[in-house]
Amino acid sequence: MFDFDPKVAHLLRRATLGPTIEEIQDASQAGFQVTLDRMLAQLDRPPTREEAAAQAIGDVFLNDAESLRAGWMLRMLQSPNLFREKLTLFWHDHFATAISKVDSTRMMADQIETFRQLGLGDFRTLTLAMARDPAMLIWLDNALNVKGHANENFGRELMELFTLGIGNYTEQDVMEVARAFTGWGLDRGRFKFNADQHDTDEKTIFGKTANFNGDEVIDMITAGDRSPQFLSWKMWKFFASQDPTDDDLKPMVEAYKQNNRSASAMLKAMFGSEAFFSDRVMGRQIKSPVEFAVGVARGLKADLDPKLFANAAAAMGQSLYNPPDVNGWPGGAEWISTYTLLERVRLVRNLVARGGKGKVCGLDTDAIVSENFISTNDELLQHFCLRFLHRQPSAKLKRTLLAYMAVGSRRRDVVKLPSNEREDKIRGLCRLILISPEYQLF
Amino acid sequence: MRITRREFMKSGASVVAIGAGVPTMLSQVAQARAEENNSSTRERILVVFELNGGNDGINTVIPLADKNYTIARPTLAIPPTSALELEKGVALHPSMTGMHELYKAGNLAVIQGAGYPNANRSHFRSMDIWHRADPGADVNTGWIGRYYDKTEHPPTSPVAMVHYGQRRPEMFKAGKAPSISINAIDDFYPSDGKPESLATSLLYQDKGKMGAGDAMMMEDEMHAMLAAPDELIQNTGMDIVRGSEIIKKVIANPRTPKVAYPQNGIGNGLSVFSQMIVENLGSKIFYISLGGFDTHARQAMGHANLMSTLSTGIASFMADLKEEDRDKDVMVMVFSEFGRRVYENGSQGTDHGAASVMFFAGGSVKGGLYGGYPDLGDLDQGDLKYNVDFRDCYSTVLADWLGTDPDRVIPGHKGRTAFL
Repeated sequence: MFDFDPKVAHLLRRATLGPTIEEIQDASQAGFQVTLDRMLAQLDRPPTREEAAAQAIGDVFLNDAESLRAGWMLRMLQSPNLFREKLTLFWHDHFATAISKVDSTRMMADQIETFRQLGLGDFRTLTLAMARDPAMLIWLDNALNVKGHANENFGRELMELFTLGIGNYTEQDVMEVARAFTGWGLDRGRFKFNADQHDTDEKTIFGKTANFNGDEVIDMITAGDRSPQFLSWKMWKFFASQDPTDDDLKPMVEAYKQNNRSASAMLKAMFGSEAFFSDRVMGRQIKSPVEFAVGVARGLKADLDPKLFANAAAAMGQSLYNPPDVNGWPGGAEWISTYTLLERVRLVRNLVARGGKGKVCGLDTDAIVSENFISTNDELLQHFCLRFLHRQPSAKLKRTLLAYMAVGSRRRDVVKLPSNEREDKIRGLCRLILISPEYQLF
Repeated sequence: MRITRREFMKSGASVVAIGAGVPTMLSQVAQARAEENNSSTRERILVVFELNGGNDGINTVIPLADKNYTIARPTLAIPPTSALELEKGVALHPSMTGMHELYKAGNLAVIQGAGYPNANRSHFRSMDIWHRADPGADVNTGWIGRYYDKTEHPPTSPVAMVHYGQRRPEMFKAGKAPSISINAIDDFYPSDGKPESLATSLLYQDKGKMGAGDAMMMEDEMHAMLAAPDELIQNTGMDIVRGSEIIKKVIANPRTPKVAYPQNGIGNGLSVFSQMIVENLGSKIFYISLGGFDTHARQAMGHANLMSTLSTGIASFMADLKEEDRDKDVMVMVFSEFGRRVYENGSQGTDHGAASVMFFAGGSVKGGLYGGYPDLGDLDQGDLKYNVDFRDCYSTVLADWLGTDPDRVIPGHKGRTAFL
């Protein structure tokens, strides 16, 4: 009933947000390599009219934090370039900055836009941009970092969380790097270098002594061997699995070194590697709240206020523009607690209850049944499992779904029940699949 | 006539005497509660209160007698006249009036100079160290999780460990013990007054009277949630289902505490905890976290607000428990992943440090100052040296409060601090 390539499905699930079965089928027709190449090429061309429209919509949402995240959610739901949005989400998590302290929707929106513009390019360029980014300057207090008594916040987190990882610098390095960034401040919301606040004395960083400034520190860091290793590790954890091995990361590290620190080259290496399609990776990552919310929204063709999805994602533990701290969202098992799992269930129940006659939310289930000639319960559950899970259900889930469909149906197939009962059952079927643990993984 | 819970608990009277009109469920719950509270071995409860971001211990418990204090902190030093004296030369931050009262009543233990060797100044690594406390080979476990896994104390309730918030704390992690993360009691049952299991109402919309077929459907829908290739999700689903079964037994009318709690997240969380304690749901370990302590810049006002939140929260909580005659059963432990540097920086803030303070509050605590205040003139890379290993404090809690052999949870820490 659906004709697609599981490798393409996996690529789209991981590299974009909530791809629908129709999109997966179309991409499968084009083939894996063409799909991957198109995805990576997209950011090198000017935006299409649709993308520009999505951008314009997003810009309207600057009133407050809730509107801001709704605006990004709208872009995620409507943009034709979901790879860009997914990659932007990666950088937002990596250079995690939160509006709760920055307190400016404009600055936060600008920071995310920088990720969109520079996200596929040179990591050094992006890091230099972040060191001057107004939201970042406020977030890690570097706007207040002045010579004499340097403020260590940015210097430490730059190395610990953005470029090198713990254990690859000393406490002395932290203090000296802090001095290198003194005077990097703000003037009326824009970066301004205050020379009189900048410490021009000698600093000893990574064993070298000179009058280093911030740019030179970033040059040193991104030129070294440690930086690509760390960045590859972060990318793999976000896109692939929670336990990368050195072998997994090797192609990405090489790509960084051979291509002037290009994120695009690293991603191409990752998405093209065998490890990315191994059993360790496929079907074993827990969806983040944003991935989950966008997935159910697109899967059910929901046409609703994006605030609903943005707020639901926040309730599930991922509030866009507002990571819990500079470490971002660790992901994996951290997404699941009784609190957050219940919130996933709540969102599904909310959506599945909607939709007029013969529809579940925006999905025209009556049309689906007739167009696909679905007549038995088996065919019904197969269709919806393929639609949402992109594969057949596990034996346990299948048993549960069949049992659910059988109760109260007096041994008739669901599609042959009176229309009210049939509709109820199909709603329930969708609900059960979308709250199943299998749907939480991808 | 409806008697108060307190009168009921003291009398241990049979439920039949209460009078007509009392619903059966209330009677059963009340009966169970009466039996439990009259037993001589009441469950001892630990509330872990985390200060996230690195609390500035030096401005929390202030070394007024140390001449370096005002030299190191030209703008941040607290004047002696506003600080709240604990003993000569040591005082609490001016915002901490509630905890000051607890100290004067003998119910607050202050551990000075708490830390560990080779202090790590990364938030995440150091917090991990405090949460896991030497996991050794059991890499992904926390010390509370190991308390349940490694000792003869299996959890006796699906809501044994309770966390107020979204993300399970590392210290709860282990293989077997269930934990729930909640926002409000309503999370687990609908707030429309009907004491139904929320898991049930989430999985199956109640359309009035349910027949036998419907009940079976509920079962199947719960199974959908549990039919898992991934154990974590399956176990969490089970935690929801079982947790809600426990919580639905709570009387539907929300409890009005006799004490006013501050109107903030901490106040809400602690009042949820006290409700669960008073209702005897079997919860033993609670965890709550307050963030915002990473005060690298302009520390004065932010830190003052945080100290106020901490102090008013704990004071209300203890007062509430005292009203319910449970204050001797409950102990609150306050900690942070590290303290902050002795010298302030150029932004009227402080950077990451090392040794800091811990607090233990409760009706059974032996109040006072413990450890020694580290010398502000004898520093380790600009930071205070520790003299009480936090793992010795944990071991004290494990041995003297939770009644187990600490060596099975945190091997090799023989020191004890005498606050119990």
